[in-house]
Amino acid sequence: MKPVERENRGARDAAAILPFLGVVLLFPPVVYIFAAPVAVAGVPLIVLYLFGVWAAVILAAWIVSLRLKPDAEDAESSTGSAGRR
Amino acid sequence: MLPADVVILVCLVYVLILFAVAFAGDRRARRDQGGWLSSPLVYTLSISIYCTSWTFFGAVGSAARNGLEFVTIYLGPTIVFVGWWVFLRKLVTIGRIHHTTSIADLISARFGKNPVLGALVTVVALVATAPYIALQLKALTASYQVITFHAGAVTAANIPLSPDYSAAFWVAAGLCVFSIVFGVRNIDVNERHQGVVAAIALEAVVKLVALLVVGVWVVSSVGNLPAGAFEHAPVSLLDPEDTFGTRWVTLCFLAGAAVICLPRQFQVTVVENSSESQLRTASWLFPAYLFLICLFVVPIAIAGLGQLPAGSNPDLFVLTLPLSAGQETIAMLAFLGGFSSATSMVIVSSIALSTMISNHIVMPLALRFSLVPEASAQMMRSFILGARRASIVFIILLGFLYFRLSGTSEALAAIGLISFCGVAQFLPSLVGGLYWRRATEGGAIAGIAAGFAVWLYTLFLPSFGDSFIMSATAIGEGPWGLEWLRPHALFGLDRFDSLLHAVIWSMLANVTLFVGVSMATEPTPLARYQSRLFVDVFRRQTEGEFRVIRRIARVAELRQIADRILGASEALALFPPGAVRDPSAIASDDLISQVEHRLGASVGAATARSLVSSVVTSESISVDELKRLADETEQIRAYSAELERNSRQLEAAAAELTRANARLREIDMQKDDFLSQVSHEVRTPMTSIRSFSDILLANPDLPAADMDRYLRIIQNESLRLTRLLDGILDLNRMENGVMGWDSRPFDPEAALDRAMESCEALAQAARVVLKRRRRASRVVLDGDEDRLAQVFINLISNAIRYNTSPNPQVTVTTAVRKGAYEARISDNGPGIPEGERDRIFAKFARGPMPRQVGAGLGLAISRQIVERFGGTLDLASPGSDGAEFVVTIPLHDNPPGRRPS
Repeated sequence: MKPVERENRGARDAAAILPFLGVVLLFPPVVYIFAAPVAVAGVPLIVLYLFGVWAAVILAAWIVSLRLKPDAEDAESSTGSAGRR
Repeated sequence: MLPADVVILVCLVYVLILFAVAFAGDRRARRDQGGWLSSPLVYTLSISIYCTSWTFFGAVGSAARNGLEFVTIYLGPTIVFVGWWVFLRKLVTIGRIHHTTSIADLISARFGKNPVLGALVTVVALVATAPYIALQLKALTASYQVITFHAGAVTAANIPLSPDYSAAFWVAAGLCVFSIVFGVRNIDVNERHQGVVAAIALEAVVKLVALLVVGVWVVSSVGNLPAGAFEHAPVSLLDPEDTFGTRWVTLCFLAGAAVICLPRQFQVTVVENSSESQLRTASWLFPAYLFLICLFVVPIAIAGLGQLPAGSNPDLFVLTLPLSAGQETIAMLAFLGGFSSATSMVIVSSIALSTMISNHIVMPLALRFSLVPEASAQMMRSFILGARRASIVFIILLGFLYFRLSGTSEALAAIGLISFCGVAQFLPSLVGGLYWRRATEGGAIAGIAAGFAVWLYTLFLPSFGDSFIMSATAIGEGPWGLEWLRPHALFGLDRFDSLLHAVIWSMLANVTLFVGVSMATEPTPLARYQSRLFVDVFRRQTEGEFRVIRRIARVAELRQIADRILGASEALALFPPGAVRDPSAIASDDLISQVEHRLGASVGAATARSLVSSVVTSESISVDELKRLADETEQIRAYSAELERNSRQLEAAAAELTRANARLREIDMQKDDFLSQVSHEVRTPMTSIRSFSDILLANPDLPAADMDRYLRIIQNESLRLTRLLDGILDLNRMENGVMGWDSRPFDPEAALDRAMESCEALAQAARVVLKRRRRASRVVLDGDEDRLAQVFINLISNAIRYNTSPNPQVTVTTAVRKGAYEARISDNGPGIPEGERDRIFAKFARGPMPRQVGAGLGLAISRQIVERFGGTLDLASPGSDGAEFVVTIPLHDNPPGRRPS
């Protein structure tokens, strides 16, 4: 049971961190680094960067949601009983 | 161009298909609750009504005008959904558990089912949605006009066409019909509309496919990929540094707030939700949908700017690009996509808002002014449904009115952002309500009202230009020429554009008042109770929480209300069989809560509460109980205190056991010692008796004097043995409490005198002086006088025997001290060494230099006797020299004069 629990906990942490990671990557100042008038293979770098980060965040969310899936019921009951006396 | 009748025909066929899907969806949902209609995919597709015609047409327009800025509208929701675990999950769970019907219902329920708050949220939502609906009507009519323009689409997009209001009116009327037919057919639990959801999901697919088809066609027609798609990119794309300023952050924030707070988003995300797995899938699938929608926006915008004549309306590139290339099928598909996105938005918005209006404005007013038809259940239900239908017409009419008033100038994106800023006013109360216990209804009302007022003044009213309430000069130079009141530069803050300016001021006012007033006011008991249910939604609720509210109501009256709102058959299922027959039966707290909960799912928590309250004769909420329940830290503290107490008790019990065990061991050892000592004591006299009797038997002709001496020794030893055994028996009887005890009141002084007399001879023989000092007078004890005398004799004779002083003397003093009789027997002998003080009271303990050997049981027996009297026998603390024994016996209760004979 233990490794599964740890994995689930890790997925929950990841689920909580992911939006903040997205904010950091998509907001100034980090986004300024890629806001230069440079083109990669004819495509502006900033377009590649924004859509690339966007796709990566969605992919990460997909993986996290899969990790959270199998024992979602367990997770619910454990958060329920954690507060129970 | 496309012929108008063809376009209308295609639209009608499409609408008929939607009707069919909605109808089938409704039927299917009634047969099978958990079917594919509640699958995560359909749920996600229904959420994508976020992509309205503003997205479909406006995203390209925005990209053409401002470059990458359009992405913010989709990045905000992406972050909110990807971070569902942080906030959305809690919101959706609360909505599901408490059968929330709308965002107004949730906010008012959280703050003590406050009806004013519900009405305020409804009004704000209504006003804020009007521009949004206007935007859809505008997009629909504009796209229709362009696609059917006789001189060709390119010309149409190039000249400022005046909007065709009659077309807009007919579109609005059609939307009313659809919304009413599928949105307001019944008053359902949770306000779920699965038929509508099915139709919305289909429309979501159509608009995505349409935009992708246009995008793929545009990209494939340029060639030299991927660089070709970006060949004629505008400067704002190539040099994008200006894009990522305050406006970027603000727009992301607004979009993120809107995807939660827009009434229609709340409807599809929270109200229509039926399980957490739906949300889990939507957390990545909805952002993926947004990603796909945006994928071709930039290439389409660039192509439009490059290929179409300068001055073409960029909001219609999606339509005009295929038209200009003669691709009429693609153009028709694009038109249908725009049509889908606009209609789905208007339908869901109007349904969501109509529920809010009927539950939070019409019903409370009707109840207050007794306008509700009381006659029959059927009439009541049709009254509610009628109110909702009227609301839908009213909402769409309001949108049409905004469209008519605001005119044509604004770009699509700007209008949409006005709405976003309006509904974002719910965010502080919503987030605060879900995480902050101390948030009060006063704070929520003040915050939302202030934010709403600022929004109205700085953004909404100026958006009409000078055609509504505010004049152009008032907007430009401030009302009455007051420059610091300029709507776009309040207090001289003119560094930002009008949207940012409005967001900053409205959120500042909103959050400040929400937090400030919440801290200054106390929540009502009900609000406190609700805050506990909402904030701790993931904690299992304990039994006690349902006992907090105590109400008294008649079952029959409750039944009447339930009948009127829910209909007889559903109401019947709520009540236990037979409970309704007795007209005076009182409903239990559980039943009242259950009825209110069920009513709340249909008419909203605030209305349900006022309905139930109308038949409740007494209500009390235990504030203390609430405080105790609400305070988590208090709970944890109580819990740990309990644990601590338990462990302390365990520790004490363990220590007690250890002590008892040690005591047992000690007693066991004493017994062993006692046995070995008794054997030893018995053995010595027995040995001498045996050896002298052996001599006597072996030598019958011993001289008479010797024989006599030996016999005397044998007799002495026998006597000693007898004394010893008597002592042991005595002690044993004493310890077991079976010794004969002659209990009667007596004077201890008399016993002492008797004891001194008995010892007189012994004292003279040892040349010891016996002294009698102070005497206690008129003392009465209750017990065996002879036994006490025995104690005194033992003490005095010991004092005589062990006194080795050259001028030996023994002193006896008695007194009454602290309610106890006290006798002290002291000598001037060598005293008792420190280490021996405890041991001398043990059995077989003897003094170091005995003159006459005793059994060693005297002091042990004496102590037993004194203890039997309830007193103590001790050695006094070592004074100068000699030993001093103290007998202390508490006095008999009765006063001397009245002692019983």
